[in-house]
Amino acid sequence: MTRIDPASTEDLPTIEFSTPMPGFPEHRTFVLVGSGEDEPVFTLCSVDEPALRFIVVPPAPFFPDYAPEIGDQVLEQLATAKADDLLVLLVVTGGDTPAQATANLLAPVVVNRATRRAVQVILSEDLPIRAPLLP
Amino acid sequence: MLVLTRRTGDSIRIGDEVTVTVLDIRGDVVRLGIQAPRSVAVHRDEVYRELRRANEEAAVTDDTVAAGLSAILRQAKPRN
Repeated sequence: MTRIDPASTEDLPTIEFSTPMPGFPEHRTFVLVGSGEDEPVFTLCSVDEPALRFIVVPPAPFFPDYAPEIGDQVLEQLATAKADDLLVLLVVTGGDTPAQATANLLAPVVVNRATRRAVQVILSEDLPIRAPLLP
Repeated sequence: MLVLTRRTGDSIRIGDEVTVTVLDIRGDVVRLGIQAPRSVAVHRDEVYRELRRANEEAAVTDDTVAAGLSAILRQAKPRN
């Protein structure tokens, strides 16, 4: 994997967290990097600290029934009125084997596609924070 | 830690914009109402701590780990 040079990321989508992800208060700006092979795996790389990254995936290929309810407060925080404007990404935690990789269904990263503002939402639904990613 | 005694219906104000009201007390269960600006995230402490721990586990600072995980996910057959 290539290290991200902030100077070379101008054409990549830069995402700004309106509230930092819990545990990472100093990191608000990330670059969303695709795997480049039309596969559903992305990497969120911190612009301030390129070595820090999160693997994220869209829910649909892995959890087809996942339909989080995004509250009005989140819509307002992301300055949009329509849930259709939002991109939902799940944070993945790796394991030693593929079977151990998990996705955080309780707290997805929600991005306003137009403004690229993001927030990690804690849903009020009863969902696992570590759901096995693979069947 | 600041300790205040409050009764049902009483509130405390934190800064200019946050108000916490004691709505109901039954046995050892207290119901609180919280009024805060939308920019202030309010969570149950244990949920917030759990999310923080999960995020710290998810953070990758090693290129080989990131590449390995990406490779695993690319090769893996998603559900359906």
